[in-house]
Amino acid sequence: MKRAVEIGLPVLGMLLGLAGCQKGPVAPVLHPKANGAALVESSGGRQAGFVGSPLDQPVVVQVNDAQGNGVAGALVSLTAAGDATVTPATGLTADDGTFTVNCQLGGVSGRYRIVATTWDKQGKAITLNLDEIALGYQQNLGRQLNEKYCSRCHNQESTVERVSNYDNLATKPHSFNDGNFYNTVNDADIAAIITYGGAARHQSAEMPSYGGTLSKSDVDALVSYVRAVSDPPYHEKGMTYARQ
Amino acid sequence: MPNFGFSDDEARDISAFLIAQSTKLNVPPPAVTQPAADSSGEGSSLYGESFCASCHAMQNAAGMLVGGNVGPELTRVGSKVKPEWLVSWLSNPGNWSPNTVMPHYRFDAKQLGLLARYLGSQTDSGFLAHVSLSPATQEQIDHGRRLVNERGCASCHVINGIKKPDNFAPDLTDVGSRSLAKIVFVPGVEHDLPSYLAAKIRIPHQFGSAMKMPQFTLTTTQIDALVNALLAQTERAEGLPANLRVPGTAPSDYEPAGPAGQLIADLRCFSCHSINGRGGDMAPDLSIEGSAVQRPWLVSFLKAPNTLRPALIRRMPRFNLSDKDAQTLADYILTVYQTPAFDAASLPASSFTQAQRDHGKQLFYSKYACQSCHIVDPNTDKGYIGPTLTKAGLRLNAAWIVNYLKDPEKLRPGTIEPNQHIPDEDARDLAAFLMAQTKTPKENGK
Repeated sequence: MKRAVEIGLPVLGMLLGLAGCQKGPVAPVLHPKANGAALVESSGGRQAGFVGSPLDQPVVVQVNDAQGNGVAGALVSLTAAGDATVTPATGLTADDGTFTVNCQLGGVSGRYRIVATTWDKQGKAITLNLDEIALGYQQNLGRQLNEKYCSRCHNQESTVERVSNYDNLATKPHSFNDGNFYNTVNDADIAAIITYGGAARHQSAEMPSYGGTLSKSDVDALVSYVRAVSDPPYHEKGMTYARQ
Repeated sequence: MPNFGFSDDEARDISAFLIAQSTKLNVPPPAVTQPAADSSGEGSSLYGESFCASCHAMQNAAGMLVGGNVGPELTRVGSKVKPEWLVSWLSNPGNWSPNTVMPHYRFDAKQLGLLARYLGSQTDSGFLAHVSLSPATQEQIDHGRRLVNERGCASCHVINGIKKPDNFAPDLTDVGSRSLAKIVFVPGVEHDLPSYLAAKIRIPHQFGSAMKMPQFTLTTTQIDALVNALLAQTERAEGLPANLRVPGTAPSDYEPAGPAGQLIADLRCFSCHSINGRGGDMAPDLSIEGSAVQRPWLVSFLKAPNTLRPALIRRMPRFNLSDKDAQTLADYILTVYQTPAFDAASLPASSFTQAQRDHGKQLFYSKYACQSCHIVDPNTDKGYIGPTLTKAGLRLNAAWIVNYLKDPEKLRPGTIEPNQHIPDEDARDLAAFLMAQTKTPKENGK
């Protein structure tokens, strides 16, 4: 009998909860306390993550006034493309004018555009586009290999655990999102540079050969990763069916 | 330790019980030289030089934790421990805890004084601000003992006079097969097993105030990982035929012998280094280190470890070893930790010609561009991803260099040095060049 009571109470609570939900969830109405004149990215754009997973860093946008100072209490609304999500999707900026959201990538690899919107005093919408990159299985394998073997030289940023070697090199390596360079090189040449070293394709001998360390599928994964994070985005050459 | 949500009185009574249970340890207090009043700079330097931060974290001025998570955080250690215990622990932790991972640093009286004073000054000004402790009564001690038993403290801690409870927490062997009908949900939790497990781990006491499970501080990702592991604990998994099971690797019980074995145990080398399948992964595996290095270098390194990889933040600490101890260790490493793949003495440095050295230099700087990651001449080379090779000729032996260049991963599994299929002749000439590196440019008068 005691058991029935124990189970009964939560069930009753649930029924009450359902009754309360009849009208659908009511979103709290936010009243902006101020309006900005510009919307800029603070951090978190162009991150790469595994498909369907949350991004490591939050996305932070900032509402500024005409002088470029942060505006507190301005309304910001964000939408994500496809099945990607941002939480919270709407809110008021903090004291320094920033608004921070967490982003979860969609289930298909590719770029997900986040559109952030705020409104100026006249009620005119100001928008900001941010692209986040969802990596498929092969691209994500490439990212892991990049973190172990490549990033020490190809990534200029140092972290506590990984000091960048970029500044020590006579010929500076290309950052992997350097689309202006990588988009001009075909897959076979990138694979050859990784496999046989930079000297194999008139690049610096400071890029050593990894053909004895990485398998062919590892090299393919790295190439696919470089293509995925390229900026401007990489478009595979081929037949064009319609004007873009 | 998770948060058990003890009230002030409960915390007081558990403390009273634990203090009443303590026994004396028969270790004579170590000799300590009390440092001068303004020694905090020296103490802080000693803390840094001893690389305490490889294992212990402290909060910096910005409130960020800086340091490793092998040992306990030391931000407020001065408020926690007794000064006389601190010096005794620092002088030899093994006296207090035979299984500790903390090495036995051979600190002298002056160093003990400096380090103890520095750590003792790491206090919290707000500590004890709202606590007034009067001498414990028998009633409080008894209440403390009851609480310690009720909350299962002895499941994780060894406590004098308390038996480790059997099956204190519910058995989770087949929690992944638990029937939903047997679960009491609370409002706000979806009626499926993953949601229930996640909610239970996230906030245990939402399932009733009598819940004994403490509050852990876990991130959403960590909770997801735990739920995933728990869901795999099913009846079906238990009934898996033996031939489908993949056994985990049994931990190695490798124990080095003799006086060197005692030193290796005393210095807790296994806390960071791995040898023959046993030990940690913070520092290089030493299973074949004897094939790589030369004796004079190893002895001096053990006595005063210098930095081979400038980019690393974790480094080998200085244990203040005596000459005799350093030689005992070096001899053991050079004799026992050898690879069967080649003979370390097979390629004497005297066998190289000047032409080979010159060719090696050319290969080093142009064909293989080794200076991207290694430094031979500190005046021109800048790469600091791989170890410094300034005095490689005093540290390494030529046979090791040749074999390493031909297949780095074979000798150092997991290294990021790429295998460039270097031909025998190139490897030999590179070794000739590196073996000629015995002095810094300064020592050469450049």
